[in-house]
Amino acid sequence: MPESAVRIALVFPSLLGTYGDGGNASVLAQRLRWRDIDAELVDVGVDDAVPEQADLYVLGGGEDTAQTLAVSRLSDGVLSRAVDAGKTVFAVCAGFQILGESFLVGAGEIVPGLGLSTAAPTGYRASAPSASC
Amino acid sequence: MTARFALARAAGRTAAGLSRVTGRGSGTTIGGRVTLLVDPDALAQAAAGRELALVSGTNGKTTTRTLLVAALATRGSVVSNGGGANLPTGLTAALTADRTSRVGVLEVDEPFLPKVAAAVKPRAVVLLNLSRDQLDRYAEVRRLAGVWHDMLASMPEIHVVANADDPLVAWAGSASPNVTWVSAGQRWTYDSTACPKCGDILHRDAHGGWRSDGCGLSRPTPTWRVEDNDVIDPSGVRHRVELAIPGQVNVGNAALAAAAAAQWGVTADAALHAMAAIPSVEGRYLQTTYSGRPVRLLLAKNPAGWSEALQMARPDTGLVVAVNARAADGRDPSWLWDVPFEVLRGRHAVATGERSRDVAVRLRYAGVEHVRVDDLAQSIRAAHGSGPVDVLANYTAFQGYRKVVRDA
Repeated sequence: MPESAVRIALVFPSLLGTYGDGGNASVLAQRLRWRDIDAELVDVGVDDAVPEQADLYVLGGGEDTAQTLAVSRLSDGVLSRAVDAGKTVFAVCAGFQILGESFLVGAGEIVPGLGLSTAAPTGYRASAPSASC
Repeated sequence: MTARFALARAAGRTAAGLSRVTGRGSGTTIGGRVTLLVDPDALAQAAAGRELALVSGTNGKTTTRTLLVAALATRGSVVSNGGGANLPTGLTAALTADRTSRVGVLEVDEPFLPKVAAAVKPRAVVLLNLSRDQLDRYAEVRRLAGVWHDMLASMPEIHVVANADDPLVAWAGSASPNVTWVSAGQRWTYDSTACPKCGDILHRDAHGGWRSDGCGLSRPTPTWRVEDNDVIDPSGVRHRVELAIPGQVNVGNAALAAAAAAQWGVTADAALHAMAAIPSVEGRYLQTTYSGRPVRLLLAKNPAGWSEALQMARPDTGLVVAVNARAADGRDPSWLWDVPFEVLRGRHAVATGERSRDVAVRLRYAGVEHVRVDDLAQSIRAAHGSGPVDVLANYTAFQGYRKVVRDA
């Protein structure tokens, strides 16, 4: 893979990938390739270090415990450094929530997020019985 | 038996009969609904005096129920629920239709298991697996496991037969003092990366073992195991399993069914022998001929099920991938992106079903050559080559193929 390849890190698909989210990363990589732009897709396992040098970080949706676990695994600041360096983070559903100041899990527990955005729950709603992303 | 239940049963029978003669359906659901309307306690009444096993899990309910029925039928008649009627209405209808069988095996839709268990007071429950399925309809799987966990904690008298390899199932089962653990296998692990008990990371080893970093929850020691095509029983005796139905996953289901049948005194040999002869399960794995080509039907409803079905697809056959998105399938087909269609690279597939375009897009991104065909019958003719065809279809598309091959 040449130096110029676009590096896409799919962050913790086994935690943040409940809603077909891995497809977003596959589509991004394939569309680059179809335009003759090299693309490298890295599936970041939950035991792996999130790469510092990716161009694009993709985060998807996940369940409450997985979402909380993802925050603790990202608490080393790797995404903050990426954003400071001008890299792009594409986050959906739970992936979006954990970038914010805080998010809701379970029956209404508020968990601190990564603080990369100002997103926070604004109104309490009893948690729905079914998945909602 | 109460007078009210007798009346409810008669009313349900009448409603079911009317539904049948007017051509509206098999009458199972409407009959059960009417019975429960007249007597809300009808399910418990219909179960009274019987020894029942309940089978639940995301995938393999119908197949495992059928395997267990075959095993228990070696000892006498067995009441059971077919046709996917696995809600309280269907269970009520099945039990009221058979007044004589003392033993029964019922498959139960996952979220309904506690309510059904409370009503029928089963002797055994068989817990197969839990994974993402119809996210617009079911709760998160961790919550489903919690519902099972609480149910088993409150009903310690139930004998639990559970898949030790699935952490969600194992955590639920751990609430019971009375469990037979079966190492039945688990290919799909993407819904149990976090420990269901404490939320920390679950680590897996190469032999199917797993352990939580946080609370130490780990795979229970199984007394029944699967190795290749063998089932190893609690005394260490190895039984060669030669099922007519395909798939490694079904060897695991056979092990679970054999472990449950042992509760009724059926030996592993007798149980597995009875299971071997089953050629197909309500159309699943059915081998037939259509348009001069041998056709095999495989059902898959969610990413875990598709992962298993893709393993069953034979390498040198024509291949059809059929997907609908009706209410019974789940309206949202985004799960197609969770299915590892990349394993089909180098092969040629037909994309069909009411969501054939979604399938075609998914196959295009997976790098799988394909054609798109609207009509299910045409799709078999369009399959690559002129020899056998494997049809992989989700729920309502699968029912469509059953009709296509039946009407041929």
